Amino acid sequence: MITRRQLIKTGMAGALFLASTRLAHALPPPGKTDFVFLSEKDAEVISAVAPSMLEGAFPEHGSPGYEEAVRKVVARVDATISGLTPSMQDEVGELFSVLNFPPTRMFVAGVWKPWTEAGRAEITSFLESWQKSRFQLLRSGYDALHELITAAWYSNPETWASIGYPGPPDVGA
Amino acid sequence: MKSDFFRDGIASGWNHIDASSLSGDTVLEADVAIVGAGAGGGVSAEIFSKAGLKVVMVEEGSLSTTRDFNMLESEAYPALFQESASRKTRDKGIDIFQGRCVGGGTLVNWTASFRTPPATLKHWEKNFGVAGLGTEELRPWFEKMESRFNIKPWDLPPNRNNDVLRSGAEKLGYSWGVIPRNVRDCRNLGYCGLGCPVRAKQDTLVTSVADALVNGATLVSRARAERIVMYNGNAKWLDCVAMDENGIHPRKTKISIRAKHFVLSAGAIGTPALLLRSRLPDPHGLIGKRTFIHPVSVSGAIFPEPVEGFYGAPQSVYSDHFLYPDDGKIGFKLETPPIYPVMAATKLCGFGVPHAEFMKSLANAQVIIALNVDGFHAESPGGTVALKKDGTPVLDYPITPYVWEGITRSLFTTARIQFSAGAERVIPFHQYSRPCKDFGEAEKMIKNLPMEVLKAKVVSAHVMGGCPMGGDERTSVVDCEGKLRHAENVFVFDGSVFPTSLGTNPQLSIFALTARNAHRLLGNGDK
Repeated sequence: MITRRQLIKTGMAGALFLASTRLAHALPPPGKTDFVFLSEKDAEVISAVAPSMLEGAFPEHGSPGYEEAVRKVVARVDATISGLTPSMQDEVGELFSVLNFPPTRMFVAGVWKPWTEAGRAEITSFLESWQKSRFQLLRSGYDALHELITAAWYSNPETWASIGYPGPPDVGA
Repeated sequence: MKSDFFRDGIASGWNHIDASSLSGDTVLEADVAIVGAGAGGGVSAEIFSKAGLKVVMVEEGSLSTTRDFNMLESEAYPALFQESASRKTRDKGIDIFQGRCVGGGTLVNWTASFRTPPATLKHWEKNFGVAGLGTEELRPWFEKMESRFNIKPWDLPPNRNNDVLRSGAEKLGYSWGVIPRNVRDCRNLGYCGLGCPVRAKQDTLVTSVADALVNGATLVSRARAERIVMYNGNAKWLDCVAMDENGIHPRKTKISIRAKHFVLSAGAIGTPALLLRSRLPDPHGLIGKRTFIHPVSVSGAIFPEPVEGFYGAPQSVYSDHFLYPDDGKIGFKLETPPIYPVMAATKLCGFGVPHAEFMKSLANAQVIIALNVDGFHAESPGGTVALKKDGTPVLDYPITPYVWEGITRSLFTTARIQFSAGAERVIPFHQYSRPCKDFGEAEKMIKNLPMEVLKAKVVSAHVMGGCPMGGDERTSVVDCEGKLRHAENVFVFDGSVFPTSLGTNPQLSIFALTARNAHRLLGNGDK
């Protein structure tokens, strides 16, 4: 999946990325969750990243709809990933390994606190740094998070009123 | 559950096997085994079954029919598209939309039905030794397919999304035209891309595949063609494996099809992949090489008035004004996409407030796409289909500077058109982009956008090539009638035989070439 040439190009970040993947796979399997694909730790990443990714559309932290919005977006991300091909699921799994393994979370993502404690500014700067990274691999990580989270949000008919989308027309029986 | 004519047909005894529900290995016999039930597979199945041959079609995707199409992206993408509509090139730099369902690309495309451009056919004749496929020679086949699929220039007014392309082009003196569409009693809903809910779109599901079943053909859905088995230069078997009910994991159940002829119509990623897995003779290493995608750039705009790009025929206006630049640079065709919320949100770059601001204006959003015409220049050699460890295919498509230049130039052009048509803001889809208020600002910004993968948004909905036809055995995988050069009874009838990209939407070219080649295989000549 990652060629030698890409690895050299990606340098240190890539080496850490791969190391974390191997280490993470050596860790004991996560406990049982309500999700099909996500572990509790993976769900924490999405819960932390989604409000920043969707800032401006997502309910404000502490507002009444916030917790429910988090739950729904995580559930939809989980459903999306479980519909992907096995090899895509492996790649998404590697991405979560990097984001969850503390050394790579800190040195590759630049997020120093655990996801449950990280602040909005820290997460936004992580997203910006991957979005515009000189390493293609990190840009693709950003792109995967962007696609999963924005699709999860805007596929939910409850968000359509806020974007002026009336939804599909009634075509009758 | 609502009934529909296809389900009624199955209830009345059409031969359909959902491989995901098979309890044990199955062996089928056929005169013709067809891999893929899209444009090429559908037309092939109809022609061969009508000639009285026993036909078995194998499709990896699901059989979803009119009653299933509810215009929801969340359901259509996993059910009807390759890799849940998230297929990407190896470096993730290009998003690829491809159908995976009975009906294939024809079920999920936006109905644009153009003949192969004469310049493309001439280029193939001159550079690839393609014979017998001149504009005049193909004319009767185009006419037959236009009649079969009810292809006519769209005769209702374009939706506002398309009308922006028309009015902007007109103001700037660019040529434009009305797109021919394959619809019957179309209700102008706008959801062609998610499966037509009213059976108006003349995709192969409701036309050719249905007719083939009426003629006694067998359709096997949720079955992945794994390999072709050869003996003494002849293909004998097609080995398939059943997929699970969601089409994600292969099961252990095997379906083996013994046939006299094998027709490969799995599309320009699937067909080369099947040949590579089968290790068929390929002395010059051509299979999967020179794969083309019409790399597409995307330009968004916000208008002061509602555009409602989610409603109405998604593609009705095009401009070929920039298709053939006379300076040797890459050309592009201009069209529009439908503006569905998930597609817009995922392709739109950036995150947080700027992303949310664009999305809040979705009803006023307008989008133009530029399809860059790859494969006509030494610096546009296309990509390569290879196999991953699990045997599934991946396309490696490096974007050359020659192609990047076209992406940049097309972004200038589309921004100019959008402002001329009255856009308030234009936002080229790029990670470094921001909304611009006039063309001067946009021009300055686009000039400085770094053209690298995963910075510029590049997408594709047209995969072509990888099994090129031609007159020379050293440079072609199939001859000019689609026969595999190194096997007597294997034929490729899909977009993978194109030696370059087409320079236009591929469905009618695939219909016409398949019809011609299927009739030749029957020994009917050009009748």
